[in-house]
Amino acid sequence: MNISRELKLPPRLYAIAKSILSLRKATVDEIARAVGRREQDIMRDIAELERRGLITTSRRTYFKVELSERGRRYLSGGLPEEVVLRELIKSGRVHVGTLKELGLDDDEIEVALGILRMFGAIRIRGGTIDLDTTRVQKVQEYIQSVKKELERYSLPITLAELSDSIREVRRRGLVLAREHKEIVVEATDLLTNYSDKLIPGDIVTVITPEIINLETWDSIEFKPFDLTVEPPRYPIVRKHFFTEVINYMRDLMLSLGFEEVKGPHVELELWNFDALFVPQYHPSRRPTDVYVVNTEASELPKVEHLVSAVGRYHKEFRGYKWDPSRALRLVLRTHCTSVSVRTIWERGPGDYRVFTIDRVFRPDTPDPTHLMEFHQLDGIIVGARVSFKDLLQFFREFARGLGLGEVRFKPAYFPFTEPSVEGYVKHPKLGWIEVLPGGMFRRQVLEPLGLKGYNVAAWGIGVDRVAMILLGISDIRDLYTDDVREVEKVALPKVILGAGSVS
Amino acid sequence: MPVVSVKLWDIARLLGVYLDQDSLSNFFDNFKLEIKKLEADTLTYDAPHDRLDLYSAEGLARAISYYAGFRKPTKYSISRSDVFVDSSRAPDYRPYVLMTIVRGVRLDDEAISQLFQLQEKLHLTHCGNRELVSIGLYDLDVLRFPVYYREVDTVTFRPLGYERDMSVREILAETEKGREYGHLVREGRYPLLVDSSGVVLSLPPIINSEDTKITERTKNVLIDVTGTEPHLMASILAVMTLATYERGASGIEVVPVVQGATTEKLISELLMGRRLIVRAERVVNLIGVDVSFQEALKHLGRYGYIVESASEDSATVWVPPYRVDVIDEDDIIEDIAISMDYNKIVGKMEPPTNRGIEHPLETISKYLRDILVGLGFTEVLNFMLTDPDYLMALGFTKFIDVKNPKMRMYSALRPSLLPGILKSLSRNVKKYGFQNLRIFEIGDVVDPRTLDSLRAVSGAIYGLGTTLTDGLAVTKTILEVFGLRPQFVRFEESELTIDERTAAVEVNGVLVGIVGEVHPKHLKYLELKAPVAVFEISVNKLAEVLGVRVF
Repeated sequence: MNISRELKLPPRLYAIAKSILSLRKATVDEIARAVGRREQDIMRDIAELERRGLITTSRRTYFKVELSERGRRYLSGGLPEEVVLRELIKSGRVHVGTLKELGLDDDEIEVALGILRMFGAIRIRGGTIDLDTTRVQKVQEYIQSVKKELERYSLPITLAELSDSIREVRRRGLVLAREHKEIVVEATDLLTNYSDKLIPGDIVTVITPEIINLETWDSIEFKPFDLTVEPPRYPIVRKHFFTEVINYMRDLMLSLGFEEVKGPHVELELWNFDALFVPQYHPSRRPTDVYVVNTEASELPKVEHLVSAVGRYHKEFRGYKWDPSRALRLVLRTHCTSVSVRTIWERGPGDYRVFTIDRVFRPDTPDPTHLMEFHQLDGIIVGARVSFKDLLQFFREFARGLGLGEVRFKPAYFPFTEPSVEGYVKHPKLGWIEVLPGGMFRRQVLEPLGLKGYNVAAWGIGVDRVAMILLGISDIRDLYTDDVREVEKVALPKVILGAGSVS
Repeated sequence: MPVVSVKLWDIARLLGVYLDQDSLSNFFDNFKLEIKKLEADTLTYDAPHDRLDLYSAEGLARAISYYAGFRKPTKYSISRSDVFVDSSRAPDYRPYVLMTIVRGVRLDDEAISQLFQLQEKLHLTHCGNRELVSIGLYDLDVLRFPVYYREVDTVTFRPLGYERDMSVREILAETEKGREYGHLVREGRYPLLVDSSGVVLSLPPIINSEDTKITERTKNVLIDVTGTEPHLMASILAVMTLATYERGASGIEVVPVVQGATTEKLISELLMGRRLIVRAERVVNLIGVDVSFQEALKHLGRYGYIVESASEDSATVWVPPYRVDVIDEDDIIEDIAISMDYNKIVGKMEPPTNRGIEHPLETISKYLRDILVGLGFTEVLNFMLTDPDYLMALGFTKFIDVKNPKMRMYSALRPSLLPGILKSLSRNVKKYGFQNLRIFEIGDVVDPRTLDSLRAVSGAIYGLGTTLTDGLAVTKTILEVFGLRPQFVRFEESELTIDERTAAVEVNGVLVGIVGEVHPKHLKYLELKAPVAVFEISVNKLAEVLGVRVF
């Protein structure tokens, strides 16, 4: 501690020190009353003053002693043994059975007889009590000593310790003696020396450089915070919540051993439809269902061989005149399955798993459940032994990874898969909803791509719908918000933070 | 997906058993049908595109009766009719006709409306909205054979649902069907079905005649399909014929086609039912569970198939002719899998052979996001489809657009992220009155020259005192975190920014992006009152200078 002429103490310590000086020696309770606080609230301050060598403390134990209700009654009406003795002196001999008439209960009778017998003052035979008059005086002395002891406590008193005599009456339940502990505080010479030079320090709300540099933290007091007051939320710069959810799905696919691929948004009908064995007259190819690009491909990709192979399969298995020029028309891809078939065409036979998460387009007017542009997660598992069971199992694992719970499967139809399936998961509000469509690519899809003797499990999951479930968003348009306040506000889904299921 | 309505009492009549909605719905999953609603006695459901045999009550009842075991699958006996249709003078742009006769039917209002429903749904889904195939039903007994399918330059008859005779010209101009399908016929070269006494059956693919229509008194139905695709026509005719047959018919005849023997053969063969070989090995290979072949084949009766012969390795399966969706054995195996219940197909997935690999553009994008958030930029998202007028207003003249937009404001593919990010900036500043704001977007743009999708990152810095320096500093910081040293050079090709305050960003001589101060005329247009610095970096180019291979 600095040697100075003055001692600056935080305001609360200052008040306590002052009261200790004026009381000289006092209990914490007394000090607390003097400074207008509760005892438990100043314990830390007392400890702090002691740590600084300004006070010493000592612990003291004492007892508060007073008569019990029974002790009070006996003091005025006589002890049970006294009552019985009195009756014996009067009558010489009594029957045990008549003792109740003296106003004693069973316990009291037992206690009274026990004490009289202890002094050898009575003999009991066949329910008859005889008094031994030679012993009466001893008993009376005992009774007098007990009553004298009781009289001492007829008003409550405080004792430093308990004597043997009080222990006896306490044992009989005639007095109550409760133990109390207290801390006695005394000013040290150091504090006494400073008694005229104590000054109170400041109450601070903000730490200043001065406090740090001049090390004055021991002489100030920090203003306590009111934790019931709602703190402000800071504006936060964040990554977009939809991107975060998409990245989580990407990580999930990577963890399942998939490789990510990409393909173009402006796509030949060949890849979007024909290579998928979708007949050219299929309703999904009408201009109301697919955006046709207002440009022709300046340079056609080298796909002649594929075009003629695809054409043969359409003609043979769908039985209609297939138009190759239609296959070379440009559209905005309506699904990412185009990327899956491109990948098979590029990689050919083998064992591989690939996926893509990207945007697709379908003519629509935006509303809470529709958009003209949205995301799909398409993937394939390629291999000679890959089966429909693997597809179902993939769906189960994918749903588990997203905390979507159990998956239920129903048969479905897609022109390019057989068997085809739709997987449903249970939504807390909407019930069973379809989120996992897929199937095994038909051989009419695979063979023109150069894949014979291989199976391909394929799917195209609607990413937006899953993201809406995870984020608790009910309007699909909100996923694509550019409102920075919205981006700030939306909470991350629990599942991407590692929780097991959607709440 | 077609939406089909049937009456429960009609289904009961066809089944011979009354099933309430709950009992019916137990079957629906197995046929990929989804119940939409039940109102009074009318059940409405979604049917899948491939099961065209289920687009009417007849086919639905037939499917249920096999599945529930009310009836055993049987083949159809088909005979060749002694009347014929002559197509020798058919129009060359719509040359084919096929006909069948279904004898001994009992029709009432509901039966007729079901057959019309089937006809309409088939037209919409598999007939290319009548362009490829069109279907007609007639009362056989009012016709005098032979019937002619021929091209005429004019004709007058009473179209179905009209009170008076009309010329073709009137029909095309005044009837609803005429206006809707008139574009499918050529002027002065109209396709016509007409009988030997000159009674018109129909003007395909537009409208039938009132005089030959089927009614509750019709006992024998003539069904025709005309069009351009014989295989498709045969499939459609088979479905239509066998649905009509469910109305208590006693026989089916194929009508010979003069000068059309090849096409006639298609329908005769189809109605006999095809045979496909199902291999035991393929059943296990495709479904992926160990099911005994004998067990697997037991499921087939529920779907109307007949197993004609079976060994341990393979079986010959008769496919009912209305199942035109069945192309090969895999389609039959799907029905086995459905009958087994998909939910009971469980087992471990084959373990992956490789570790997962993220696409390098996504890996780089993830780091870019972290860096930009660290620099105080909030991420926003915009659509790739945008407003061509807005793009042009900001000086972006080259972009890809679509021929058939639903809304003009979503009809062009963004060639850059900058227009979107400026729109977002303007919206946020206007909405919240920000004095300063930094936002960024990472996403794909479409190069109007190559049509390729390219990954880009773009950002905007808004606030009084903002200059090019802010954009340069951010760009430099990003590139240096990637260990790259940018050179900034004058760039005057951007309409969006001020020439004197625009820089091209180069790394090792490769142009990777641009940085600039947005021209005040654009700020005015965007209703922004303080300067904006923007940058856009090509992530593909970043990958290139980083030596990352993008596939």
